[in-house]
Amino acid sequence: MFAFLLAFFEQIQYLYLFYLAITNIITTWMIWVTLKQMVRCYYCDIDMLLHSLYHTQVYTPISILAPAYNEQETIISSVYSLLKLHFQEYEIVIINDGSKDETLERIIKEFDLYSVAITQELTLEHAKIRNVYHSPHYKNLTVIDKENGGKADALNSAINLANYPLICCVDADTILEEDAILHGLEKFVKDRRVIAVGGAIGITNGSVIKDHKMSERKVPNSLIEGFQILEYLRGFFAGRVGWQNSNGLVLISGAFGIFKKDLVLKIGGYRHTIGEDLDLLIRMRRYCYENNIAHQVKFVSDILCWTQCPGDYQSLLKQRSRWQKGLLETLYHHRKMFFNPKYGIVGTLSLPYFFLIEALGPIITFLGVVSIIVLYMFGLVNPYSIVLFFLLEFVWGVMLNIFALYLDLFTKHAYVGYWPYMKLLLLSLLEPFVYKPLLKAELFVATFNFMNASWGEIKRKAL
Amino acid sequence: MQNAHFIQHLVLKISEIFFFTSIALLVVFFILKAFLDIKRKFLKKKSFQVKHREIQEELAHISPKNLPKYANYLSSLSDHQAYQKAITQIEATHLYDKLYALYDTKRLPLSRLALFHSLALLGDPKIRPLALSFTSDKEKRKKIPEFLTIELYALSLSSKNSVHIQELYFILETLDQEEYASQKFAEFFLVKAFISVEEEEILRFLAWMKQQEFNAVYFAAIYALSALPVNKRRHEALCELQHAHPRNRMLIVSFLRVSHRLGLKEPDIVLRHHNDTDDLLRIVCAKVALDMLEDSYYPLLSHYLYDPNPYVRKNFLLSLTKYHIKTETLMAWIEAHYPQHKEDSLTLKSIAQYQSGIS
Repeated sequence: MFAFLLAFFEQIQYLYLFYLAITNIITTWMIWVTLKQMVRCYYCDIDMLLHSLYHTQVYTPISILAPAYNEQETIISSVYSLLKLHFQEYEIVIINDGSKDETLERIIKEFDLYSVAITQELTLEHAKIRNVYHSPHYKNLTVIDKENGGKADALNSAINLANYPLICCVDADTILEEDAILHGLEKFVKDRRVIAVGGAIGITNGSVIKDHKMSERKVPNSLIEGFQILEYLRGFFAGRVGWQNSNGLVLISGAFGIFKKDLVLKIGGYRHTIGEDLDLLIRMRRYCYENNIAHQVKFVSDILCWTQCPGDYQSLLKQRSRWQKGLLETLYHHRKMFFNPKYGIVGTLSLPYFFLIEALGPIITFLGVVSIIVLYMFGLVNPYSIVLFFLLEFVWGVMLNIFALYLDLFTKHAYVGYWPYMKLLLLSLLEPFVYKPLLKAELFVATFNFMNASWGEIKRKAL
Repeated sequence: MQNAHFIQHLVLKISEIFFFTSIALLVVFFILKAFLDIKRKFLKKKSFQVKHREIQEELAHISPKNLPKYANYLSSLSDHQAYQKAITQIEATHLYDKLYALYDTKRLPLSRLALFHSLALLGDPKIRPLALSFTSDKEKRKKIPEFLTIELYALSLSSKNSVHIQELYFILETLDQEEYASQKFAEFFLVKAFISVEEEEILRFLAWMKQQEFNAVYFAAIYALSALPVNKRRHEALCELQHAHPRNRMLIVSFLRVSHRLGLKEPDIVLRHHNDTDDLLRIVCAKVALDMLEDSYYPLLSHYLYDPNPYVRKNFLLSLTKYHIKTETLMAWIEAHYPQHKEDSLTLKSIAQYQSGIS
């Protein structure tokens, strides 16, 4: 039995090393693909065209939906940033999802809101709407006050009230770039098959926000926030551009995503789950595959919106735990799509990748590290395995971080000077030893705890 | 033993590769950062200089020898005026042809390619052959898709006659069929092209359109024309098209829009289509109906107040505001013609909106 266990651990150890190698190869490839695209965009004077598009009659109006739950610190700033967007015709729908703080009171006071009758046909189900408000100063601003029902519920209520054929779902603590909608719309105009567009997300922590706009981008002094900047660049940014190029993108962040409203309505809006953003896009794509609708999902390879990342370990672990639970729940819900050629690249590649690399990753990592420790304790560990582990996990990890920093050079809001990059380089040396193990441990726990789904709260700072 | 030695050697080699790659990545990173910083500073400085006469002096010294330097300089100019001055200078020194020759014969770095594509934004007629060769070549389009929009923009702005618009039309048709471009995409460029040509050329283009088959680009062209300022001759040309295809909704929409803008009345068409199933047609009818019909027909239109399409409601409310019709009158119309919709939530919302609009 003992010998069997040791043999098992030996195999697990190799499986783990294989997993690490595969993950690193995929990440390297994705950063490379993203970098190539970003360099092309950097030299392409697309802003002038977007400006031109802004001044023509040829556009599709859009509804911006922003659910807010206990966002009293950031809500006013976010609404102002939304009101400043460069776009001809858009409406903003803020949903107060039963906040316990002063979110609603602050918006009412700031924008002199007055109550109006609820007059739209409510096709999607959601918790009861208490009141709908309009502003006398901003005709395109609507605020919904409803009973708490979660983010998906709040978005469904706003979709019901939205007037326009495109909906842009943003987080209420998000600050959008002025031309974010134009960038997103360009993708819809260029290709009629596009059903959804996402954009890269930047982190505001430590930066200077002036007039509800990103004024000076800085690397925060806190370790935890700095690590997340690296993670956003390496994982979220590069990964999505990579998947988009093969039309395998299944995740558009809840912080900024534009969707075709008619398709969202056809699939019944958001499903009540904690991974609602991942679930929505998978269901949209599933519907298209099942009904033979040619479709594309695009990603804009520049930072279109800014958000705060968790500033303390507790909030971060809660957030990541929630993401992991959402991922597992959604993958389980769509398990029939796995390895099913009927669902194209999503069924054959994207979802299996998410399952094997992202969802099972924490378990493989945990078992792999345990096996190396156990084998080491019994003097059975292959020394080259340890060296290989070190090379794959730490050395290649650091290299990937450096490589990912290249992406930042070609964003519109690249850091000014060398110091921010020096700081990020130092952090990238520390990350594999401090940040990654902690996160993986939390994800491992969350994997076994995914039935206990709740949103939790993240502490926000005023902008 | 030999195996262990080999593995040890392999691991050491891999470590070495990782180490040197990281160092190389870092060095390249900081060189690139320095380069981009310098470029940004240069840009700032130059855009300041553009406002002064220094730019003219600098341009005066251009010769084929310092062409690459000049190309870099051009790519750093950030406003149209500067481009225009630079292009005048290129023409004066006969460098345009050389620039083209360079573009066609050599594999240029992306930054230099970007220069040519940026020049396209000016819509200079001389850039047209380059833009045409790029947009008609599927391989090129796929290789650098980001430049496609810019080149189409160049084709639109450099259009000077109906043949040019036809060229653009065919390319847009190809994009529609092969690359799934949306109708709005075609509209955007066709509007730009129509703005760039004389009225005679538009009329020639409309005559040519008669022989074309209906497709997304056809309707994009019609829609683009009806969105632009109109005149009687263009209205007549559209009228001919519409009479040739009386059942085509898109043509009816364009025809109504143009007629309305010219103050002409088409009551028969409005009465025939005011309750059409097509959203776009209802949207336009809601906008023009009150102006085109006699007063006695007004109550017939009150169904627009609870139309499921928000644009139909919005357009109708806007036209109602113009005629100062009382809220009570509106309610009476609905009660008389569509009593089941009196308490409809959309009707109530429209009435509320109308009231707030009047106040």
